This record gives sequence, structure tokens and C-alpha cells, in this order.
Amino acid sequence: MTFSTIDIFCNVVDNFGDIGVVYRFARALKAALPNSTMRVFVDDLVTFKVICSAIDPQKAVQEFESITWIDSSRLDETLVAQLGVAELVFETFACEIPQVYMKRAYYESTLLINLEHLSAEEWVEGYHEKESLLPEGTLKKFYFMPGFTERTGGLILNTTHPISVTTPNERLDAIKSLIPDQIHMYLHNPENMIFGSVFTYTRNLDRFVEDCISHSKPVTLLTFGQKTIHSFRKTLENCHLTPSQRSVHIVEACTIIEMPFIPQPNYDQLLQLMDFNIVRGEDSLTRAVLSGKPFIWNAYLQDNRYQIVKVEALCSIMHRWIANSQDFEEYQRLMIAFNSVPNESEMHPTNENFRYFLNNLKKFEHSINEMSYFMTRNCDLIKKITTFIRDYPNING
Amino acid sequence: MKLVEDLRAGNTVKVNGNLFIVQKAIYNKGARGASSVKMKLKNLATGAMNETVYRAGEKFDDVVLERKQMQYLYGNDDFYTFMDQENYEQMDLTKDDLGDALNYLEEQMVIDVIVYEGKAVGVELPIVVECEITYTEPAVRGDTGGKVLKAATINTGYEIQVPLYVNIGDKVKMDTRTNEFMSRA
Repeated sequence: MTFSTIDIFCNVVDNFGDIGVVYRFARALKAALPNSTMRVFVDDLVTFKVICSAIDPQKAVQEFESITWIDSSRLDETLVAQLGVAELVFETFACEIPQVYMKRAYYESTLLINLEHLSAEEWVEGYHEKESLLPEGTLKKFYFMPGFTERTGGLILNTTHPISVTTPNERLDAIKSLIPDQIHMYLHNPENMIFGSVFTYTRNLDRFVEDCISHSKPVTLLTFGQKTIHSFRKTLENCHLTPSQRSVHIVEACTIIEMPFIPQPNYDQLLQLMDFNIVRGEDSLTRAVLSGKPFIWNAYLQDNRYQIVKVEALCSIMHRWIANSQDFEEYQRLMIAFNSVPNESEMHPTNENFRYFLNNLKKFEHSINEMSYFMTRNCDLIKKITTFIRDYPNING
Repeated sequence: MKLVEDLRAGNTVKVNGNLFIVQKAIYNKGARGASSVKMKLKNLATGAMNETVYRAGEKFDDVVLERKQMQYLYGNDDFYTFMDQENYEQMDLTKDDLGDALNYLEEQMVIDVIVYEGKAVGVELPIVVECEITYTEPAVRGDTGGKVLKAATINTGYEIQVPLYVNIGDKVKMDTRTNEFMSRA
């Protein structure tokens, strides 16, 4: 079925996870369905502006990148009457679509898709493309479950082309092209340097920094997000080192650089140029997988340490590519240890050991590169969702 | 109104004017602690089956249909026969009608059979049932915490998870909503 109008709803819950995914999803879907009119309803444009500077939080309705962006917190019957409802509606992460909109959508829209959170857990396959009966009207609702297997909704692939570099100097130049000029002076020694990106929740990073310092090669860490930067500063204090007043801290052979916010496409490409990445949440996990570089995932903390179930599920998927049993056991041990914290605090000591991971980056890179290739070929979320839409209502949900 | 996470096999709900009986309900935890529930629903008017998914917290109009106390007599792959405890009338249910209840159904068990327009359409198990362990690996001495679980088979052939201290021959109490071990009986 062809849909000429598409509305996407997003509630900003915390951090930039939800809106980050939705921003990426909307642009990718618009690129795949250029003839459809697309509108995105966001309830917090102030947060959105942090990742998309072109947005004006004062405006209720604005046009950007061929998409209409609407402040959903201002939706009332008058505005809904003026805007109308779309034939195809996406609710993201089961967000609550305002009732003034739904009252009309139940009868005037055709298809509602709930784009869920990404998970590696096995049950996701059984939930994918399943219907969710609605209380009234003729509208039909389905669940779309992103995941890491062919039988899930897959991943939102990068929209930028893969970066290809052959020499250390080329890599350094490529890194510099993606980040602000004021950082360039701290990037040097490309032949010998290990580059890593770090984007975590608030946590203790003492062990990680110790292992970076003791590594046989110098390590440069590009650190993203206030929580990560705060955690590194605490670690420097714990090591009785005074954090520098500048945004760069040099601890023996380890250089820690506090990065400003950079655009999504730059971040995506930067991960491909690193030797390893530490990522948090959902969207940066996807970018890390697709980067083809070794990564460690900092999962969103949940009650009763449920994040460990999610980490184990991801490791279980990755076992297919990290076939060597010692590599896999060490990798899984590190991932679980890294996520075995009771709360989001820099105070809680951790017992992970990064040495095996850091000493075997090339081996892990080979595995993650194959995983990335598989995901790109078989788990393209936009391709899957446009196929679902095209085939609707002749689907097997 | 009933929350979706409180629904279990045998419950009846009204959605968009249609009556459905829940045949199966599975809970899974999603991101940020939000759970999803997958249910197998049977439309009581058309007999059509729907495999549906909901976010925990969604509400349903629950409908109480007539129910009769009946004893499970016998069954095969096609039909399962129950007898009314008052008038000895027999009614058949299919495997799909029984849904998750089949996991705990034992001959001679007396349970609520849901009746709609004179026909048996499903059963509702008690929230807690007692079952006997017919096979499990030997108990581990010293484990009394019950946090580590192992597989065990009960007398219906269904496999459950029990604490390490449980032995063959033990009777255990199970929560039929979640299929979780509660205690030794």
C-alpha cells in the first residue's frame, strides 16, 4: 500500500536516546519514501535542538530537511483540525500520542506502527510485526521490533558512506575532518596511537583508565556526553590527579579529550575510524555495531540488574562472529563486568579487566566487521519497514 | 478495567466491540523496565485467532462470562473432555481453547470452564496450582536461597524452573500466570 502522508510521534523521555533515534529514523524513512509527506511530532524541541541546531523551539510548526517538525506539546483540537491526521502513523517506543490526535486517527488513519526499542533478546522475533488490537475505530496497529536477526525489524543503517583509510596519516586526517579544529592539536603520533571513543552513563572508570595507561601503546580517548566527561573527571580525582582546566587531560601515555556535541553523521563516521568504541544506550550501540570496530556496550540500567539479561543476549548474538572460545569468554566477561553496577554512580567500584580486549583489538575487529557486514546485508530496518508498509494489509502478522 | 499484565489464559476481554478469550499471555521486559505482553486471543464470535502485542499498562474492558466447575476427564491431541460437576454433562475443548492451561492440566482436576452461548470456550486455572516433580537433576545441598534455578519436569510433562534444592517427588506450588515457582507445597 502506498501512503502519501506519514506522521511520526516522539516523546523525549531522558537524555537524547529517543529523539536521536527518531531524528535518524525520520530522515532515513523520508529518503526511502521521498514522495510521502512526512511530519514529526516531538514534545520537547529544546532537547531536540541540542542534536539538531536548525530547530527553533519557539515555533509550533517548522520545515527542515523536507520534513515538517511539530511541537506536539502544543497540539489541541484546533491545531489537529488544521493539520489533519496522516494515513500512516508511527508511535515510537510506545509513546503516548495525544488523545486529540488519536480520536481522529482511530477513524481516519489507516495504519499505526509502534517502533519499539532495540533488543537482542530472543523473544523479540515473536513480537515483531504482531498486531495490537485498538479499542475503537478502523485503524490497525502493529508492533515493529528492531533487532539483530533477519526475523526482527533490524537496525537503522548509517546514511553516510563507510569511511575508507589505508594509512595512519590518512586516518588522522579523516578524524580531524570530523571534529572541531580546537581538538586537532591534541591528535598526533598516528603510527603508534590507539584511538578510542567513549560515551557512557555516569560510572566508575578507574579500571578502564588504569588499563589504558598500562597498555603497550599510547591511547587517546575521545569522550562524549556530560555523564562520560563527569565520570572521567572523577576518575582523575580518584587517581589523585587534578583534572585539567582545559578539555584535555594527559595521564602518562593516555590522553583523555572531552569532546563537544558533534552531528550524527560525523559521530557515525568517527566510530569507524577508532580502534575501539565504548557506547551507551540504543542508537550508539547500533552505530558501534555498524562501525565494524570492537566495542563495549554500557546498557541502560534497569531494576534487578535486568540490563545483564540484555547484555548476555547481545553477547549470545555476537558469539556467531566471535567464534574463538577464549575471545568470546573474555569479551562476555568484560561486557557483563562493565554492566554489573547497581546504580548510575561514579562511586561504585567495578572489577572489569580491559587488558585482553585492548591487546586483541585486531582479532575483535575482524569479528565485528563480519557482524557489521551481516547486519548491513540482512537487517536493514528501513528496507524491512517499507516492505511491511508496501505489503500491508497482505502481511503475516 | 484490567491491566494487560494482569490478564491470563481464560480471561475474557472486550476490544472494539468484540469479545476475545485470552488463550496465552507472555510477559517480557523491554528497555527502561517497560514490559510488553504477547497474547493469543480468540474472537468468540468468529473463532479467529489473533496473536497480539501490548505494552504493560494498557487497559482492557474485562467481561465475566458464565463459568462452570468441571472435572477434566481425558484428552488427546484433538479434544479434551470435561464433565459438569452438577449435571454430569460433558463438553469438549480443543488444544487451542486450553492454551497455557494445558501445561498444568491433570486428569481429575476440577477447574472453571468458561461458557459462551452454551459452548465451552476456555478454561481458567487457579492462580496457584500444585504439581509433582517427576524429573530433575539431584538437589544441591546447602542451596536454600532459591535464586539459582534448574529445569524440572512435572507430572503433566511440562518443564518448569525450580530452585536447586527441589527433588524428584517433591510437590511444588506454581504461579500459573507467570509459570514461576512459588514454594514447596
